Amino acid sequence: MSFDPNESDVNRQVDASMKMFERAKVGTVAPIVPAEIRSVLLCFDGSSQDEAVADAGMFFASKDSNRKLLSLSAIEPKAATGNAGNSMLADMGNMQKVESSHVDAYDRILDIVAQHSPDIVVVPCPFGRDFASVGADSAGTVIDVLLKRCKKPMLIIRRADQTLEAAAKNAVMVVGSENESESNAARLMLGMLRLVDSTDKSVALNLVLGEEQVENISQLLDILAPDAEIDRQRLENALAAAHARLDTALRNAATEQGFRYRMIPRTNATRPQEIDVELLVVLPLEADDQFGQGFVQHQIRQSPHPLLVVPEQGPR
Amino acid sequence: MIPVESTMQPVGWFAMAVSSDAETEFGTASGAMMLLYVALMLATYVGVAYERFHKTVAALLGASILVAISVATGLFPYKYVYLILEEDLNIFGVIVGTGILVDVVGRSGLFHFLSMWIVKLTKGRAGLLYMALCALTFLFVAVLTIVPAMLILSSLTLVICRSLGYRPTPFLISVAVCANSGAIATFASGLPNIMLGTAAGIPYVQFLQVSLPFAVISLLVAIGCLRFFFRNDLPWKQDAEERQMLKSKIAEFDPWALVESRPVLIRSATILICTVIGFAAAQSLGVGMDFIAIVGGTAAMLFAGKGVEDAINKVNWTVILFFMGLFLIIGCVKATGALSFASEQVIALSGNRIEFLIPLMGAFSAVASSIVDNIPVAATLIPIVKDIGETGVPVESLWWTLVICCNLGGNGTPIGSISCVIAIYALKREAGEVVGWGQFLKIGGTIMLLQVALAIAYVMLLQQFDLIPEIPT
Repeated sequence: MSFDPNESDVNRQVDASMKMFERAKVGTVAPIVPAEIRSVLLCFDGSSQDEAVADAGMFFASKDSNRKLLSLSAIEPKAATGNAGNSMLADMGNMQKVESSHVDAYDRILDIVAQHSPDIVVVPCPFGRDFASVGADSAGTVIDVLLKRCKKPMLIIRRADQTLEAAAKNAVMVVGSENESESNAARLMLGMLRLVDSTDKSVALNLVLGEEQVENISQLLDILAPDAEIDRQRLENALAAAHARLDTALRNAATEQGFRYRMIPRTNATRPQEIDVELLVVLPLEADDQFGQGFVQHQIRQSPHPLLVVPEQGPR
Repeated sequence: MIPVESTMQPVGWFAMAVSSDAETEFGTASGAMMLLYVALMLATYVGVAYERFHKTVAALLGASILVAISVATGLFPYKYVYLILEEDLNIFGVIVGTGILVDVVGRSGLFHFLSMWIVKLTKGRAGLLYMALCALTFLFVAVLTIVPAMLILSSLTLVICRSLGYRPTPFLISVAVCANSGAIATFASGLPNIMLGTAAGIPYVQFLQVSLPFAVISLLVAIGCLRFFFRNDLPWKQDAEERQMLKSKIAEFDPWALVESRPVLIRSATILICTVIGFAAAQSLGVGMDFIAIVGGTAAMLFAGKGVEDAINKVNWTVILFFMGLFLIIGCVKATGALSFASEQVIALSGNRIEFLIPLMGAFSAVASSIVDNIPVAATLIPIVKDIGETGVPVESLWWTLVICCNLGGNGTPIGSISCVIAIYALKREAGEVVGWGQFLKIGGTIMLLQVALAIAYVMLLQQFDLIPEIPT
């Protein structure tokens, strides 16, 4: 490399070197250790979703009375005023109200995250509105900004009828592309699972290639390797192989921690989310991955279930 | 030459420079000409520092303009250009030879293997891992120079931190700072050392006697300060359960998986060790370091590599052309007598006393190196120190001051050293963490000031007790 490399030179060379080191990961796969959730930031927006946020707060508080709860009223000036959520939590011990002087909701949330460094940030989506008002058309500005800037995992609450207690029993991690924050997301997913009092817990690892992605890959392979026969089964096998270590780690954790586990590689279009099934959708999010961000935003828009978005830094 | 009085005051030097003529080996250059050349040299340095302008293009452009003016005005005949470059041909040889050697040996997986193997020994514990990464950086930079070493250590740090759940910022910033200590260690551990060592005629062994001990001291100082700055950023104390988890995670890595061919690895390591021994023995063998470097590179291509064309293509022509431009610029400016004038002012300012010259040169080179690339800083100071040496001052101490302070100055700012630049880019891209100037200045600036103060004290002590070996003529 030049003695005066530019940023893209450095990134390319560091990437290549990191891939080389990743090749050394061939030893026995350790089971995933669940992450500890010591503090939770609850963001209230003044809409009817406050009840769901409060419910999430009670879920965390009931599992460990020492767990720190931070309550932030991030009500936008134009939103309906409502403090139903806050009043439900009023009697909860170890809860601390926090405030920020910023005007916009996302700035207030980011400010508090920077100050208090919570392990999870609970955010309703769409922020300041009911789910029914926009449906799957938009996730909203607040979530868009938080996905870009928030370095902490976010638990995104969509519908009030999807309780966290029921959803967290069945966690589904959805991975749409190569993603460096898969391990962090898996640790936090198991951390949430551990909080549920049930002997019937399940985890699924959904490896997803959307219809358009499959078409793009097929088109490129037609040029690169015209004689190769690529069908969906081979793609799904390749997907599974690419995530073999994560699969093994989750499988080992399932044996150790006592939950059901399966991996599902899929190359068809994402099925519409079924409202009747309560589940927690877990989405790893890699820094600077534009495609990955788009995928996560799409999942948030489509999903009526609570979503746990885990950025690369994730839990320590 | 302008007569030098030890009581001459530096005030009014500008007026003096404009009104003075300097007698050079080619005749008399006017003060205005000197100033013009210095201005063009400084403009080139601004171009080198300016991010959007390629350094090599800036250097070659500056050289082209200055050579053209020199020949057109009759300052010197064109053949003088060959004389300028002839003096520095051995530097090009070292760059070519070590570039090929490092590339071929690197592709054998030797450095990746060694670094992963050492990290595994720490069992992933934060404190041990931290010390191991700092020590590895020091060693790798001493052998490989900063850029290849930082690429390996940055990527290793990011992969390990991701796997073990550590925040990468404390590790990467520490690696970047420790790299500048490693850069002092040997003749071949950095381009400024190669330039200064070649210009001064310092044998390889003397680097091990003089700069290596201080390199270790500066490393310990850096680690101590960094450990303090990052005292709350890593889990320095870990309980038995955490250690067990870390142990099982680090066990996932197998260093041998990084090695395609063990025989190639062993041959690469052998050639590298022989080359380092060759550097140390070069003087007694009656050959130059460039010869040893070229032989080492040739041996690597013969015995340890596939892809000879690739290895030769990896020779850093950008650096070589940059040096060519830089040496021509300095040579042209020197021909006007401007650098002699500058050295006279330095002597006047310091009263030609070594106890003032060492701190003056040390502080200036460190501060300048924290702002601009240390290569032009070293290149500019070389002829000045040579001229100072002609006045009878013990010049060895000044060479060592430059070797140490030009490298340590890089810790002062985020742009001071390529190691800091690489670490900051890698953190932003892979971990989404941004290290601002304020944060870096607090850490790096403090460490730099401490290290440079110690460096000046170290050289003065060595000078005082006559412990600096004489440079053979």
